Amino acid sequence: MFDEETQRALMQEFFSENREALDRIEQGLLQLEGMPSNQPLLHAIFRDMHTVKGNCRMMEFIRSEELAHTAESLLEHMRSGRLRIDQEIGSLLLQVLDGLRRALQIIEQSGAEGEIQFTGLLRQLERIIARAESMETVVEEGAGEPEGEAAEELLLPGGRGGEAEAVAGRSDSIRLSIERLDALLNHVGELGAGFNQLKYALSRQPTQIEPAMEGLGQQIQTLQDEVLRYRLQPIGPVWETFHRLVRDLAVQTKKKVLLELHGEETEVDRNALIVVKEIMGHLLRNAIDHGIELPEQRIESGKSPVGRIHLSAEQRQGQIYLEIADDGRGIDVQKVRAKAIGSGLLTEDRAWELQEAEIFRLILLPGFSTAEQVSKISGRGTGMDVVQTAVEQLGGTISISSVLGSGSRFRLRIPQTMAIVPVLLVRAWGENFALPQSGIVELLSYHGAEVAEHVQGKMGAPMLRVREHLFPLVVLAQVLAWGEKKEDPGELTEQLRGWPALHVVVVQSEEQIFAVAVEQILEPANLVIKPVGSLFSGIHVLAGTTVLPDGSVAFLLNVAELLQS
Amino acid sequence: MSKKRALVVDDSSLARMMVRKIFSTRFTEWELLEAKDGEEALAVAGGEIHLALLDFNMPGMNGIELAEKLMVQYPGIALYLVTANIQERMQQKADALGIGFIKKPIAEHKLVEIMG
Repeated sequence: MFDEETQRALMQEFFSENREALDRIEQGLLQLEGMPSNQPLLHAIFRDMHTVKGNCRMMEFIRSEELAHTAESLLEHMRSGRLRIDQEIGSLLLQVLDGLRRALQIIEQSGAEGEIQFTGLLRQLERIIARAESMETVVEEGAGEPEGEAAEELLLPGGRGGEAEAVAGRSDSIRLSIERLDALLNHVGELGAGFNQLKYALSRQPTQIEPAMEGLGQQIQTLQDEVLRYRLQPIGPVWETFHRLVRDLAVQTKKKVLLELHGEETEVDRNALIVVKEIMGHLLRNAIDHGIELPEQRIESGKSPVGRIHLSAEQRQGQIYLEIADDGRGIDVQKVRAKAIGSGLLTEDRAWELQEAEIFRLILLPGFSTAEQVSKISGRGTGMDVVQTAVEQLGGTISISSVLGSGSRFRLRIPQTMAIVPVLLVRAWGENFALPQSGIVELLSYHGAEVAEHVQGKMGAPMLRVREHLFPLVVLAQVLAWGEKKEDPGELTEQLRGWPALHVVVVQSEEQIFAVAVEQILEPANLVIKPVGSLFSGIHVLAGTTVLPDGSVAFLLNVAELLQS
Repeated sequence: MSKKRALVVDDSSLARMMVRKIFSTRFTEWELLEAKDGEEALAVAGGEIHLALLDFNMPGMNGIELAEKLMVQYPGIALYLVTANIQERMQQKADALGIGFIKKPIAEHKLVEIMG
């Protein structure tokens, strides 16, 4: 397609650029052997091989192209951590360079690749690539799929799904059916419960038995932790599927959207992962549909035409923190407030008392939508109440912040493992209850005159003064008195001030710190939590049930809901 | 009317040369600017740019990251990602940003098609 002179110039460029790139690759490989995990170096080598391949393709030297392409595939596996340079790989890649140089020489002399063949080199490269690829596979439709397939299998510990990349060289993985894993987990749970019962029975003659019991307890704990870890899977593969979702929605809505992911390696309980996918999918849809503006509107308001959505996950102290933030139009707090008043959800007075964060939470209520038009994508009410329900199901919390004009941020916190939860046992209303330890700030007890000194009324509601801070005070028995007559807040404050003793658990929910008054603070424990039965499923304050050492059943409380009630 | 301007960004000088040759024989009404990576592309001096052909694999920012920045700098620019093998995920990302694709090596007829 070019004249002779142009063709000659292109060939000259082809030779000089390829030779330079091959020299750099050689230097790089030699350095890499001394520092196998140097990512920038690996990227540079990969890019140079990619350039060589592209150049061969442009000039139609297909055998050189095939060799460079196969070498590039091998480098790609090194880049993603599935392979590490060793002597075998190092020498093979150096042989590839020699082969490509030889081809350049032949082309320079004859203008064509001639008889040159790379069969042996290609076979060796492919053998190593096949080895790398056999390390991944298994959970092809794993992570994100609904439960219930008969023969599910997990790759441990780096279970994966979709196109995502497996974690570095995990050749020491094992396979285990989910069914077996669940059975094992149950056994361990029972073992823990048995131990608790034994400990309870022996508690009256402790001297000899105590140390042995402590040791046993620790073993069980270790075993539990270990088994629970089997259930954890990285969130990355689930997120991978979102690229397609974002693409489809962006095309459909004529918006431009860039999805950014952070913390793909964060591990979440497999069951939770399925729900997390649903929740984040909902929030993502919502962000594109209602958050991100059309490119013209964005330019008008001085923004990049491309809307950004940032997903992040992080594990801290047994909790998973998930965040989805967009740089779209944000939520109009006034609109939400007006709508809440208009639809009778709130009285006008109450609406003006609420903090901004609490107003935003209103959008999680069933049937609430501020979008002016019902959209095909996220529909009326955008299904945000589904999000709320799902988060509760996981025993987690959700909070929303938003700045009008600059974007919204949804923060979720869920427990990393769902089966065994460290709790504090308390007594109220004649029953035992469990509070998740993750939400507890401190435990306080006041006696006699101290009680009245620390309990105050503020606009009728009881408050607890702790050092210089004033926290809302919730009486657990009151919260739990379903259907029964509740005390007037003012009267309640007066009653509380007269109590001979006051035991409180100071807790932190997503938005604030508050105090929960209980009849008795019992003891901390690690308990196997089961979902609440359907009879109680509408009561949001209850997050699960558990069997206590004495065989009685206790409810796990949802801290975030205590204050709402 | 002043010439329309196109930008080619590729770390392969052969690839840039190829595009340059096509432009100088076929699209003489266009002025072609060249850059070897994203940083250089963004530093290209002033004026309007109507079309950009971007390599994906480059040192520094990749083609998609560069595309987003160019959209800000040149609203209305037509953007094409030039790649040899298009991964599904990359295709989805580009689609979500409204970026087109051209298979590498660039064929002349393909350029005629997109440049009208």
